[in-house]
Amino acid sequence: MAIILEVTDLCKTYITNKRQNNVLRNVNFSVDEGEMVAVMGPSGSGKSTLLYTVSGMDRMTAGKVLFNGKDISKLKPNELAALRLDEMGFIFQQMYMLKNLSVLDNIILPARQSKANTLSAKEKLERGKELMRRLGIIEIADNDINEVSGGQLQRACICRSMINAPKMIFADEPTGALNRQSSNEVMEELCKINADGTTIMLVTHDAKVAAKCSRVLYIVDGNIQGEYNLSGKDERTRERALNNWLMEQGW
Amino acid sequence: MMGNARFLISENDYKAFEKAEPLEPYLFYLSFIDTDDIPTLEKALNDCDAIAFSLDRSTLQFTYILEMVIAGILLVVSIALIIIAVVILRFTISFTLSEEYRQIGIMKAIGIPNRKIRSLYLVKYLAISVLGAIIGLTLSFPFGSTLLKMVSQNIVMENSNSLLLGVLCAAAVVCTIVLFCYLSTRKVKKFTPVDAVRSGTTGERYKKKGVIKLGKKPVRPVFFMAVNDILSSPKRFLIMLFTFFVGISMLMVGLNISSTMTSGKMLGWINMAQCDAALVESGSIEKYMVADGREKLNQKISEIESDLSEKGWEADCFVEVITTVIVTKGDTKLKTNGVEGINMTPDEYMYLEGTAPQNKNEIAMSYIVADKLGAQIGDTVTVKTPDGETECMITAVYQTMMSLGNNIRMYPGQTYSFQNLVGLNDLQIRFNDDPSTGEIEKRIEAIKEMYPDDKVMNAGDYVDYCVGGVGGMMDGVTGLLLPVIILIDILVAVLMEKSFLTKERGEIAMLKAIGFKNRSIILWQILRIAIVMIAAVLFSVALADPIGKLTTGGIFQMMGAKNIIFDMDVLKTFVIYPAVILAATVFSVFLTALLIRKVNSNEINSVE
Repeated sequence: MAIILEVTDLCKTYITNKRQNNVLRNVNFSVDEGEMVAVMGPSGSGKSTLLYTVSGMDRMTAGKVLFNGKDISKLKPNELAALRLDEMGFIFQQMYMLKNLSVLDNIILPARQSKANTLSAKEKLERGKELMRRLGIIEIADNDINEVSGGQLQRACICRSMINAPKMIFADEPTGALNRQSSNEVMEELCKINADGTTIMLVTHDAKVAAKCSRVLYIVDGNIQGEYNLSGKDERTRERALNNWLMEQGW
Repeated sequence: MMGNARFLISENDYKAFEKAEPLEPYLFYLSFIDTDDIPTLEKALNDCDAIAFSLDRSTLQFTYILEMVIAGILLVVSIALIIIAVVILRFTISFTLSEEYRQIGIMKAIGIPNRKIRSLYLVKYLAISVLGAIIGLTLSFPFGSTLLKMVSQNIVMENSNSLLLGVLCAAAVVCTIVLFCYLSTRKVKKFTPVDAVRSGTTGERYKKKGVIKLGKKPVRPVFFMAVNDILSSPKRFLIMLFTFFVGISMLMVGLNISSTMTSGKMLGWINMAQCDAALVESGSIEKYMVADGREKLNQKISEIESDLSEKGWEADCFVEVITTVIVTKGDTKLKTNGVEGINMTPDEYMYLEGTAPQNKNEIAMSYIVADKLGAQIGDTVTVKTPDGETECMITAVYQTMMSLGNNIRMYPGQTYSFQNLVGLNDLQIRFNDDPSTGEIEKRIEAIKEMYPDDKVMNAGDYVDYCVGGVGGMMDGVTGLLLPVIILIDILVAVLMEKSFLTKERGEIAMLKAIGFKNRSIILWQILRIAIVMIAAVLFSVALADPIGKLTTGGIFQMMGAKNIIFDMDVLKTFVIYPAVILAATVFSVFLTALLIRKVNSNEINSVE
């Protein structure tokens, strides 16, 4: 498998009140195409910062991040925005969507904005509907975002992240604001998307969610303390195995 | 007074003038009769031939009508500015409360009653309004003096600039503002502790938002988002639309009045026929207001027409003379002015109703005179001129601002006693070959050379000359109004934009996160306000005429014109000024929207 994301000596430092806060310290890891990687760690360990930095949402202080062969540290803000729009997908804990647009319009919005997506407006609309059908939410296509449940909205966010057929999806606590049932449904969808070939990197606090991934990175104080490979492990035992490993890490 | 220039001279100088030349032909006597029995006085004056003109007190007050036009417009503008200020205040309070819903919710959660929470805000607003009142009161003294100086050029005024009155007014303003703020903080009652906990969304207050669908519409997403935002939350944009609309409308009213007053069309409203040029002959009163004045005037007219013909310009030259007439209808007698054209017929004028007089037994009268006499078209009245009495039928009614609408129009040839004229207007020239504006200006230059002792001007300048340069004053007022309107629009637009940026921080962060470039987001922000601004301009353009009539029609009606058709400088009124306001406002919004660069896409999970 080719490497889609390669992170080398990544550092991120915030300066607050003249005090230097090293959130990420020389982080090194890589993600292969088609992988589904979970990032876990205690609160404040730098999980979300890692996700935002490697996806180009935030600037790194030092190090190198190669996404699909491109060094994102060298890209200008507009180039980074174009990269996020065309080659990456994002899912967040808070299901942010534009409140004045319908669910379907929110989903197709990145496609309409993308210059790289050469489909016609009609084809983009059809793709949006097709994604909604796949995720079982086509009935809410014309609804306002205020009229649907959190689980439905998060699935709509997944559709939006998929609309431009990204190479990789970054998800920050995608199930964090959902109940158990909705959480399971969302993870099932993400697993299906991953099975179809899309690489996923997600941040989570939930071992059940992380257990669905092929690999888990455990981060403490801005460093990757360890990683656990779940691929090939039995479905029924992988969650327990992961929990045991996490306990060893100090979870 | 009443537009006549005068000099105050010493007694010695007066005696010197008296010795040099007999003053009798120049003497006018001004009498003030203090009575409340106006009808009896009017009747007595009507019977007295030696009176050139008489006016009652209320009419005399209107002789400052041109100053009143300016004052009236300033009053209308001031009212508009007060309305805008109130709207901005209401918006600011509403915005502040929306921003602080969490604090309000928490205060409520710990048991602080609504009254106490509102009083917290009122103390703040009281302090701000007291500070504003002190600054305003202090500035009112120098500014007030400047304004009074301008007015006192025409009116003798005693100094009534009272400090106590100023303080009382300032206190009244503070009380009004605080009361308004108290009423505006009613929204506090609506916030609940649940709002504070659930980040302002309780789930029960959701309203249908999206009005139009992007679907497969072939539009740019940011443009769609902007239009959809306006249609989905019209209330948010209504304040802005209203403020822009009021400001631009006021400016257009000023511009329309200004261009109307300096256009040739005004000639019709001051009871004069349309012309291309006017020739103001020096000493015409002494020359023509004599027994053989008519012959001399006809001769002068023939000379001018002949001179112009020699230059190859076929033109009509004409003039109007004014005499005092007494019009009687039944028991009602009215002393007024009779206007008569020389070398022209009454067909040249504009009429509200009816047809122009066709012979000496027909007259037209202003609707003000008709109202005073209780007369209408078809009625017969007796017209007494210095040369005799004639039974005349009223064939038409017109409007005029000359003599505040107090005149009638007679068929030429009724007045022979030119020595009894009240006055005569200036010589007007109308070319028969319908020349362009540029050609008229060229000809005017040539006529100036032909008559170097006289003033020659185009129709627009002549109107301005006749109405005492009020057009120039109006230009000054609108020139002052433009930066004021721009400043207000910028203030409103920036305030609104800042509130949008605060409320939409999460959405902006999300758009950035999913790959929208800064310039697209800035364009989205700008487009909304630009669309509202363009809508306000379109509304203002569409309603410019009715609003102009509504706001200033009353003033023109007092002056004698009830059916004003504004002469619009289309380029200036509908293109240049709106474009300047639009550009300035949009640019200020652009500068404000640049703040979105400070919103990081990684804030998406932390914004409230």
